[in-house]
Amino acid sequence: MKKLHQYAMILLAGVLGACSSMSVDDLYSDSFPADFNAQEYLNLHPELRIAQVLDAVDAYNENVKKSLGITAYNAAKNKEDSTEFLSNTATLRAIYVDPFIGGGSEAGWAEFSADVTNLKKLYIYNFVGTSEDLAMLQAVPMDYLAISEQYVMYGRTHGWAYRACSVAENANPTRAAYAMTIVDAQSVGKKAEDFVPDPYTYCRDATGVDRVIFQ
Amino acid sequence: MMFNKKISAFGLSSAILLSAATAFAAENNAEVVTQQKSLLEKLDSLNAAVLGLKINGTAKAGGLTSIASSDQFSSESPTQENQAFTDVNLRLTARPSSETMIDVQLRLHKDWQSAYDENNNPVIGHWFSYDGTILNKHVDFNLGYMRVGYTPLTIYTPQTEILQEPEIFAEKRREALEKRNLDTTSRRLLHGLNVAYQSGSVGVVDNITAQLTGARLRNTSKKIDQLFFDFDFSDRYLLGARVGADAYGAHLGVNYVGLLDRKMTRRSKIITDADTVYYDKNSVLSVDASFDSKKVLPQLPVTFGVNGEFAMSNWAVDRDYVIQEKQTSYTVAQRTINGKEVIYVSSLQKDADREVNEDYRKQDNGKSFYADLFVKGNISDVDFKVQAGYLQTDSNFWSELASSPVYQGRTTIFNANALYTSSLEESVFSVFGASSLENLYFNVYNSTTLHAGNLMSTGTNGNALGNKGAGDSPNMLARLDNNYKNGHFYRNAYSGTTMKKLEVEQDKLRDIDPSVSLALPFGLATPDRKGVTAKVDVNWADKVFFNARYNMLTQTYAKTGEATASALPLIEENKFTEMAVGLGVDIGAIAGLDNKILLQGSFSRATESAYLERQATHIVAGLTADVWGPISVLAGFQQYNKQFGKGGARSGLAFEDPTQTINLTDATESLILGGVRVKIAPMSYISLQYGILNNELSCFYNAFEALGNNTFSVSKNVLLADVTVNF
Repeated sequence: MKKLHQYAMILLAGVLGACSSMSVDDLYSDSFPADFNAQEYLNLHPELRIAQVLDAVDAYNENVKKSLGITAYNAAKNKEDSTEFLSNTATLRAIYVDPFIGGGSEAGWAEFSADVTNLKKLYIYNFVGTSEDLAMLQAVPMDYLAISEQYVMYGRTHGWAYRACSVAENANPTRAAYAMTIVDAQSVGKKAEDFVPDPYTYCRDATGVDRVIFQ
Repeated sequence: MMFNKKISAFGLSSAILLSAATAFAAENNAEVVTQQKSLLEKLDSLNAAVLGLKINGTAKAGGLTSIASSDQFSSESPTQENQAFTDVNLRLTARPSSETMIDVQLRLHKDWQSAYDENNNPVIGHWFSYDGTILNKHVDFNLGYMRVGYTPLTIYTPQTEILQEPEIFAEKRREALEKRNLDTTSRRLLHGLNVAYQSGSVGVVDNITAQLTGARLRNTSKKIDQLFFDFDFSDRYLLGARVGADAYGAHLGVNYVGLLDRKMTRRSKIITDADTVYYDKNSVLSVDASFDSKKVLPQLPVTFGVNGEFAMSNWAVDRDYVIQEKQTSYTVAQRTINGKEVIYVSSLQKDADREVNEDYRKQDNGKSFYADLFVKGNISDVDFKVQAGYLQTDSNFWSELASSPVYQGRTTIFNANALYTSSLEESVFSVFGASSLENLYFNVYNSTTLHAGNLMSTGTNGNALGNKGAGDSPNMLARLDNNYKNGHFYRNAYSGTTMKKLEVEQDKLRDIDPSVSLALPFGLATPDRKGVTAKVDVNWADKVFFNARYNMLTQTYAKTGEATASALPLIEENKFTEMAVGLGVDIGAIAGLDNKILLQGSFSRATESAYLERQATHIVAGLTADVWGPISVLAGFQQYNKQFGKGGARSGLAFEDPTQTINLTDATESLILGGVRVKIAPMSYISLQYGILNNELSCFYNAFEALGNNTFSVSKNVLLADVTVNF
């Protein structure tokens, strides 16, 4: 009986082995469109880089907070925010107009800077304990892997454009028109199980409209 | 605990037998005077049949004064050291059956110099063992402390050999060894379990033996001047086994010894960033063979034979340490950026400690071989033994348990509290210690009141008042519970600890101390040696004794540890020549007197051709004379001269480097010791001795903002008086 059981297990293992495919699909060609380029994707969605920069500022400040203690940290931050950081207009401007840091534009600066409340929104870019904020912001290492992963994990299924449209594609239907049901479903669904992944890929035309890419 | 129960079970019989047993008590110690030996053995065999408890031991009361003088002492330095003590060693032996014996040895030590400080003087138990010969005398076992020896390449203790060592010195050396539970045999002090089986005669085979030994080894230098018995994370473990058979006067055996650092023991605390923990493994497998013609050719006036052994060793060290690295992890995160919810992938980087284990060093398959031919016999009252041998040991051979000598030297025994004029002098004497003659023959056993200032911790300040190390066990400070109790301390140059190969490599001064053999500092197991050895011993009717030794050995890689860029060791051939002759004459026996008047002397010289170009000359002379009745006169003289043709050493760094801070170039030391001994009872004496110790070190130095040559010398006058009683 014991032997029989043993043979049965060997047979089962053999069958499973024989039926299973040994080929491994290429993870990258399955996950990304063939012409995916992280920098190009980032150019369309600079907020992904802004998020990285803000993460770096938070991580840095978290360490400063640990070494100073919460009271000393808060005191230092308040002092810096209100004096050195806020009074250094040149730095604030450079931060604001950088598309990958502040995400603003030269044109918008005059209006933005007129209101102190707006300027205070830039506190989040302050590295506490240093005056080299701009240099440090620009030196935050670029993590292309995180940008690419975002496309796989979120962007693609949510219909994010991943490249600029070619001239021929400028006439393709827009996402709003072509995948109406999906766009609706995604905007309405609140629960995870309601989620409908977008099966298409999109490019963005010169006017900022996302259009379907036909394979 | 089990033994205690057994003891109590026999308590009644013990009590009855106690008085009878002590009356007969004269346990067969290793050093029994020859004439009394057979009588004692008879008494012993009588005692062996008697169940119960027996107490015997020694009591010694004595005083010691050492007065030191030196130009290198500062003006406020203490120059005199006094010891006044009563030291009682109790040996309790309990026999639950005629086959087995529990042996406990206790030491009570009263130090009269600190008598008023003491409020609690504990008894130190320094030997605990359960021994026996069981199963119709086929199986011997030892449990607890034991002395075990296998072969010269496996488990062995290389001993210092001094030809015609006068009794006054031999006795002192034995006493210093005994304080560390050591003896003059080549067996090794261990604690654990040892079981040996002897078959007795089986057909043509005279004997089949099998032996198994398991022991815990202690390996740490800090123990040298600390309390004797405790457990430590430096403990390591030994497993030894051997089998052998004897037939027709021949013996063939296979021996194995393996020792290792147990990871769990070493890692009793969490390792921190600064720690690197090494785990050392060493194993040796050997085949030994011997032949003695006595068994097959008993009719010849001489017997001849051969002893030989071939061994292979493995040595490997791996280590654990902590590296700091960045760990990156990705998560999906959400942020509001310029008023817009953005889902992005956030990469989190954090510093993380990762524990790494790596192979550090490895030496596989080191080989060692020796063969000794001997002829011995007795022709018209002349006993003689002539030996000649060849040995060859690879540079990658390592056998730890056969290599560690018990003499470690380089401590200061007398006047350790002396103050020196400057850091240079202090450095010279702390590195080179007192003379090797002081180290070989003297020891101080002290009891000191413990307090926070001298209780040790691992903290940077070295004592319990210092900061506790970060990873230290909280029990470290529990040692303060010993506050104001009395602790027993040694100043003793002998130690039963074994040294790992890495430790030996670090401590190169050890093998430049010529009082340890220059050519074979680690006995026959000394790595990287090949050559011939010869020995002659002659004894004419216990009247005239003659010994001669001659060794010619070659070392291939004398620049030990130095490697070229390609990591190959530099070849520098070093030739050792060692010769020694000794002569002893008992004038009393020659003149037909009853009194022994033994005059002894020996001369030895050892040189090397390369490396440090060392040269050691040793002169020994002595007199042991029974003058009248119980009164004997003992005297001895020894002189060592050690020369370093290429400069000595300061630390484990490159030796020949002339820029080294302190280079010893010449050391001359001498000891004269003489005295009177009165026998008051068998093995009980009153003794009064006076000695002069001189130690002179010539150094070239470039240290402490001074450059030059100087001679540093210390002389000590020692007066010893004691009463020793054996009971």
